[in-house]
Amino acid sequence: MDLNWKSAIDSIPILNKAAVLTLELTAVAVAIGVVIGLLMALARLSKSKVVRAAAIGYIDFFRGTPLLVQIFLVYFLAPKIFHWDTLPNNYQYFAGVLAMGLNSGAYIAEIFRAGIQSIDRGQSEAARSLGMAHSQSMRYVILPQAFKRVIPPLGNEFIALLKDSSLLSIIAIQELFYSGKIIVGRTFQPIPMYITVALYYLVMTQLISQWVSYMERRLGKNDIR
Amino acid sequence: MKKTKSVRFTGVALLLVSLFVMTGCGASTVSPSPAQSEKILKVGTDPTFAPFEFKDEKDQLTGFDSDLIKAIGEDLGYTVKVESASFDGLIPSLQAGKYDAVIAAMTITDERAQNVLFSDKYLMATQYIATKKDSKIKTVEDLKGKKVGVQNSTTGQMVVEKLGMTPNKYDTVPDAITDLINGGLDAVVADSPVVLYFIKQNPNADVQYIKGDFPKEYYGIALKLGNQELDDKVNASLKKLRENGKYNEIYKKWFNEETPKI
Repeated sequence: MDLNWKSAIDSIPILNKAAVLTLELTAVAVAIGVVIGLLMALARLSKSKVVRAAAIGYIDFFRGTPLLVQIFLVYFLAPKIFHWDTLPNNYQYFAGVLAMGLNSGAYIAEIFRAGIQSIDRGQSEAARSLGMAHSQSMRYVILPQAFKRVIPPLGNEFIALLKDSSLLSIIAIQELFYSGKIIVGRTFQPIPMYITVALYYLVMTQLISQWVSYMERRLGKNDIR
Repeated sequence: MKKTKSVRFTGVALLLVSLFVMTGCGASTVSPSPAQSEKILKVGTDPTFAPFEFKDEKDQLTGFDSDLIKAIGEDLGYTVKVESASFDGLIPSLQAGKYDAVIAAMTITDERAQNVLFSDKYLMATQYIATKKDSKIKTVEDLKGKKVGVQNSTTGQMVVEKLGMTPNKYDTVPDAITDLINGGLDAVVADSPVVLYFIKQNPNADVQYIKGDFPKEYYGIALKLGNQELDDKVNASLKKLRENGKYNEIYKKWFNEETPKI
């Protein structure tokens, strides 16, 4: 089969747009994931059995089922829950980002929990003996230190989610992979296109991991005396 | 240890129960579709099906179906908004109310007609067999025992299954043809215009076609079951476009010939 690289090169403007969309979707999903993850991590460490059970149930469900299935579930389930008969415009973006956010929330919960538990017990004991309430010691003493420690795994989660965003093609979100697929529908040149798409992902993941290690170094500075 | 396990189990159970409750409530209270005040026609299609619907170099939808639905929209005074989905997801999304109509080179079949309301037929096609140029496959009968690829949920899949075979089902026709060229398949069965278009666009590819003798099929625009009002409008518009030459103009643009009688 002749490889027609021109078809891929001509498509760069379309792919650029799709790459930006991919980044945006991932960033919003991670933002949702961080909020859910923090709440779930705290719930997971709660004294109340019910709260703990709810958090564990959430985490187990979203880590224990495939993201692809979750995307379909959210996509077809949300209209029923919200009683929509005709779906709002661009509904698939809402469903796609929500599914990714819910999924990453479960992983990020475990990242935060590990971060919180990695802080020496003496820290919270010291805070409590200074008269801080449990919530205060969490907020002013534990979480700021924990957050620094979870930067690398959070970066990994961002990268994993960026790659997984290609699954959103299944509900016709024109992110990077689906864009490539649509172009192949016109050019019938899959090999140059998917190599190009792979390079796009590679560049994006590399940039993110550079950024994460920069953040790690910057936040780690005041640890060095 | 035992305690953690029971907490974990309760958690998963709680979550599943709440999911079921939520869907249960939702399903029972969905009301029939309210009339739309805006004159927007939301249309779904699968943009990997040249020359009927695909995206051009500027990422804009184009193709025969795209031109036709725009002409119908213009005639009826609708603003046409086209959204994409994979072919096998189009009918579920139409039923879910995501679109008002689906135009996707969709053949009218009895099975589909139980789930959607079809407009009058707007195009005739049949299934062609694409093979490599040195292939020994010459007739439909020769397909038996061979590895055959189709696009999932298409009439190509239906005719191959009618022969008592299980085809490999791909997401798009280009995926199937690529596998044919790579040697993963002996033949691809797909709509005749799509096979012809592929060969026209890729004259150097090691692909030829065989007409076979599959039955004629007719494409229809799919609408939500019960939407008789829109169906009447679309049919009237199709008739008008055929009479005033607009249909023929679009047909000539994409197939380089006058509209055949169907």
